[in-house]
Amino acid sequence: MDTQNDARNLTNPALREVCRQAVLEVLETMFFEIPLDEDIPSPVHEPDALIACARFDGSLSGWLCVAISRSCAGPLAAGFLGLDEEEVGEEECRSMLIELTNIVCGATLSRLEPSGRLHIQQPVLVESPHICDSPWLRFPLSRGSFDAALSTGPYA
Amino acid sequence: MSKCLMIVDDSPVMRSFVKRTLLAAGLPVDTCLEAANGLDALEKLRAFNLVGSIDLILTDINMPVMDGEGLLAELKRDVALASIPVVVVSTDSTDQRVGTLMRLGASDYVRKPFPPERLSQVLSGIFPGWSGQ
Repeated sequence: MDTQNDARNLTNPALREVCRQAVLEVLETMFFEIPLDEDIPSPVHEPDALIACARFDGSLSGWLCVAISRSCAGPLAAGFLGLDEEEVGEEECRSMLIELTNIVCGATLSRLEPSGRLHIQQPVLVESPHICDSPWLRFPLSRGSFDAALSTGPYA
Repeated sequence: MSKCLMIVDDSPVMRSFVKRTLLAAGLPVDTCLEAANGLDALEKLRAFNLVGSIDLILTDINMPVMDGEGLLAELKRDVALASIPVVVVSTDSTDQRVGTLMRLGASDYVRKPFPPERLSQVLSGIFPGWSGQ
């Protein structure tokens, strides 16, 4: 059995590539951010990160989580909303992260299951995503980092 | 000629993003109304006597209370509202979902994420004679 290729998380090269493409598309087209370096597999998200998770079900079920360092939440929200960073508060950062997670999840699933019938639940902010054993994919940004984790299995 | 639009999305930041993208594209917007879900949109359209004065509705699909599919069905059932063009802007872009929405009468579909030019392209089709910046 090929453990890596059968894995339902980002240790699977195919899932990792799909997630990578989705994250890059979302960051570039709607947040006007281009990661500074190649994405890096990472065992954990940054300790101070703001985290949101979206569950999905239908022809494929699972979850996708996004964690962004607090230092880059303001710049990302400002870029998305077309505001100066000083005009962006905590509420805008949280709302932006929820929408960002929703869009990344949709972009990932449309690549994985273009003909499927899927439903993405409203992403929720979490303190700790209870997925400590699931690997993350890190995208270094100018002011911090963007981490994503994906599983096509049940939310643990 | 200035347009009167309604943006329907449960995410306030997404409503702001869509509005900003429309303005940046140079669409002459007179009024831009916002609604948090399909029912909120219908109530505002009817309560404020906006029938006949809205040029375009842009709506998300996945929303609480009444989703975009429900809104589209209600709009097309109401003779007074049925002619308003509806553009769906959503992450839910599976072939089946897009097919259902187009059969229900959506004018076009914009999959999130989208570059600003994509929205301009769709609006050019809705408003002949206008071309985005």
